Amino acid sequence: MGHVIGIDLGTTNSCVAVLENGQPSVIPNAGGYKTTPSMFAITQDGKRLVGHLAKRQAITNSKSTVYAAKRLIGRRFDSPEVQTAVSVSPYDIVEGPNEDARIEVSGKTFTCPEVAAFILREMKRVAEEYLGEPVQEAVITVPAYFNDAQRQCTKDAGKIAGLDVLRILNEPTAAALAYSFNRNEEEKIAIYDLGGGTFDISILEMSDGVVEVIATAGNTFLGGEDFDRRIVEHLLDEFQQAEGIDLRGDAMALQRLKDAAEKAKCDLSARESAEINLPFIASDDAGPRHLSVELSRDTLESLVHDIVEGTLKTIEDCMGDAGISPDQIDQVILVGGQTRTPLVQNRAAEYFGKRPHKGVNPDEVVAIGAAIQGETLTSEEENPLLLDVTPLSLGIATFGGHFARLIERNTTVPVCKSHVFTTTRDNQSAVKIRVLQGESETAAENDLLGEFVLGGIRPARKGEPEIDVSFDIDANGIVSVSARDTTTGKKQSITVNATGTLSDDEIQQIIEEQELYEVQLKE
Amino acid sequence: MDCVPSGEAQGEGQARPRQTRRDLPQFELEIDESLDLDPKIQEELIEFVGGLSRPYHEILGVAPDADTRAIKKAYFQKSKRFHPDRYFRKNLGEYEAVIDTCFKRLLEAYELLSDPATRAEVQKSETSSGSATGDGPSSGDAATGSSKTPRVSGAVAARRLRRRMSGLQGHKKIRQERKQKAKSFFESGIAAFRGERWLEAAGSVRLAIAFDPDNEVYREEFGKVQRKAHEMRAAQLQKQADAAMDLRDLGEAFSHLEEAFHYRPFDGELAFRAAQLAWQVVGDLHKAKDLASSACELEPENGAYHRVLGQIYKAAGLAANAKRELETAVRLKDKEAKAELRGL
Repeated sequence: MGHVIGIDLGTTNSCVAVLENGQPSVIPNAGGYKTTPSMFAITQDGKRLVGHLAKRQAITNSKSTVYAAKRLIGRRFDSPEVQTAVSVSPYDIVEGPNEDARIEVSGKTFTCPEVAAFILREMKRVAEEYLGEPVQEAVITVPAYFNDAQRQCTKDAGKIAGLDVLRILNEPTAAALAYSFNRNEEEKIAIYDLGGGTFDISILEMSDGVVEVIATAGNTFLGGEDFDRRIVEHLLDEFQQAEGIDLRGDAMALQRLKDAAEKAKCDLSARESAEINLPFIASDDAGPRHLSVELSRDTLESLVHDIVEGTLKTIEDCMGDAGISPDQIDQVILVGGQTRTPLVQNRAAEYFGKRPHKGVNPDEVVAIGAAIQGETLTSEEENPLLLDVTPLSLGIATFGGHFARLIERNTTVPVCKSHVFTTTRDNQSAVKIRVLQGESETAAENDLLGEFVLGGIRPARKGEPEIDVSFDIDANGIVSVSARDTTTGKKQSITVNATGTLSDDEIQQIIEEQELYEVQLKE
Repeated sequence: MDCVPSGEAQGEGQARPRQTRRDLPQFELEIDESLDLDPKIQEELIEFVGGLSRPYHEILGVAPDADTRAIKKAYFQKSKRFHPDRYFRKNLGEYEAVIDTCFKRLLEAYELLSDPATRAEVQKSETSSGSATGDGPSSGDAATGSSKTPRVSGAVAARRLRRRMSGLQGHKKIRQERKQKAKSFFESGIAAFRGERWLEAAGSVRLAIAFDPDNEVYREEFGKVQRKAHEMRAAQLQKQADAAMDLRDLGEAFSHLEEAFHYRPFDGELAFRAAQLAWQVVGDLHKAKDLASSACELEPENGAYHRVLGQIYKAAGLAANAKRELETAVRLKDKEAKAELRGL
């Protein structure tokens, strides 16, 4: 039997790991790096590049280089998150036929799962080269706060990349599995996961070989990329003040600024100040201009202060859901490259009243956890059991545009819950069941997962018929919903297929198309 | 908000808190050595799924007054056994659904008992209904209707069983152990029977049959126990129906009566009461006709039954049938039938 790989598909960087002889290890790519940039590009002569190769040419080819596409996956084009991305991304984001966001590069339009598949295929290849054998099965991680559509799309991406996705696993949960590996303590831990594009907090309890997620919360549009953007904005303002030139319209200058901002941010984790030098960033009648700015850690902290405070607010909500106080947490584990920032570490330490655990590598721990979960699912040995939760509430729309929750967020899965509903008009013969996911009391503010109509209700006064609606989430996270008229026994049900995802035919078509390029790449 | 389409399908349901009915799926299980599942675990699952209608603390295997810590510990231990991830992508046959059901019920027990508020409520309702927790006995008859697994005919099942048993000849020890287990289930079933805990008795004897399917004594005894259990369930349902009547919740009363008749299929009066409600309250003339016909068949000399059947036919617009029944009713000296017949 082949190996199961664990892939951390990150906003900025991705990482792949595997368990060999019971020991987890991160697989380095051909360049020797343990993480690979989640970037994809098409060069002027039509070559497709992924990872470091794509990143290296980003400055000269910014319009055809895609980064941070994870921020778009599974989202509607008209969502505020996508609209923000449209305004700040050098590449083109367009609306797809399913109201989804798609990416246009060199005149060709790609769906988000396709772009993610380029990265996943690369990670698969990295693993295959290292292991010297084909790899088919994988566990892929997503932010805990991803909704059903975002998870579905990630699974589709895996399929396109030629992987059998055994499980979509939450990133903080993966980190906890890695932390608890070969550790037999009874403890409560908090995972603070601030990555390139998302923030998650999870509270877990472990004992007796069981890892139980108690609560999880997050923000799928907040991360290190926002730190970078704040720095870029700051540099743009400084430059405009000093030189009177606005660089906002210059794609190449913006890409250079972005790279420099990211580097300065990393430098500031170890040092008190960083120098940013970008010669020939612009020119006008007076000749070429250079950007030279000294950025101090204090300045960076003032730029991103509110973002970090925002994460603490989310933590408080999550602790409330979990019903425990900060002093009951035995270990705080920081995950994601952005947690290297001293401000983040200090604020987390202040909140929980203890220094974060130092034993895990924040860039690699998620992929390792995914590999462990892959092994746990497929091996015969007595492995730790993971009890995970559903991060968002599920329910239906009711009269007046309200949202009735059937499964509350942070409920352990697999689970089944039901509730009785009734009609709102006399002689109403049908009800429409709209399946929603989210936390708003207003139905329209939540995500629609699917809908169906239960007809054939016998004529009766309003409020008399009894319609038993039942929600079921299986161990793989698949949601199915059924409605039954208890008098007539009539029943309707659906297995939720998130909107905006690709059909099997479309996926097959994309796979075949990509195979053509496989040939081209090997030339 | 995306607008609500015009037409019939617009009124979305309005939540009305109400006790959810516990429809536990029923399984007909046998040890199947061809599955990717250790027979020992199959045994354990048969035993566990057979006891899912027990009080929640018994499902978790803790004392009624166990503290939260003990409850959590028990939940973790049992989860390690019954979580579907333990059997990921294995060939499990019918046991796949069994594992799913077991874990969900286990989770429910844990959720309800680990919250002091829900725990108090649960334990109050459990003690008030005694050992019967409101669930039907784990009966094998096809009419239960809530079963998720397709049933096989007796002959097919017997053939399958023989084939499996012959494959088991080499496992004499295992067979011996199973028989022993069956015997202890049977004994506790008999004890429950003597203690007049009919539902528990039926459940135990059923488990005995699962472990020793060839034992005729068990099967015979099961029939007896099951009859008792049905009677008891029917009595309980009738009580619930009366309570619903008092609250003027006639729809609820109807569904209880209808179910009660299922357990007492020889009770004409029960069918008659249910038929009246089906006709006048629920407005389901088909059900009303079926029930009233059953009542007439069971007590052919009761004029009132025939009259009501006639009235139902009349409401359905079947004049000839209505006339026939009403004439029978007049012949049987039902007073109101005459007026009805005139109005036809």
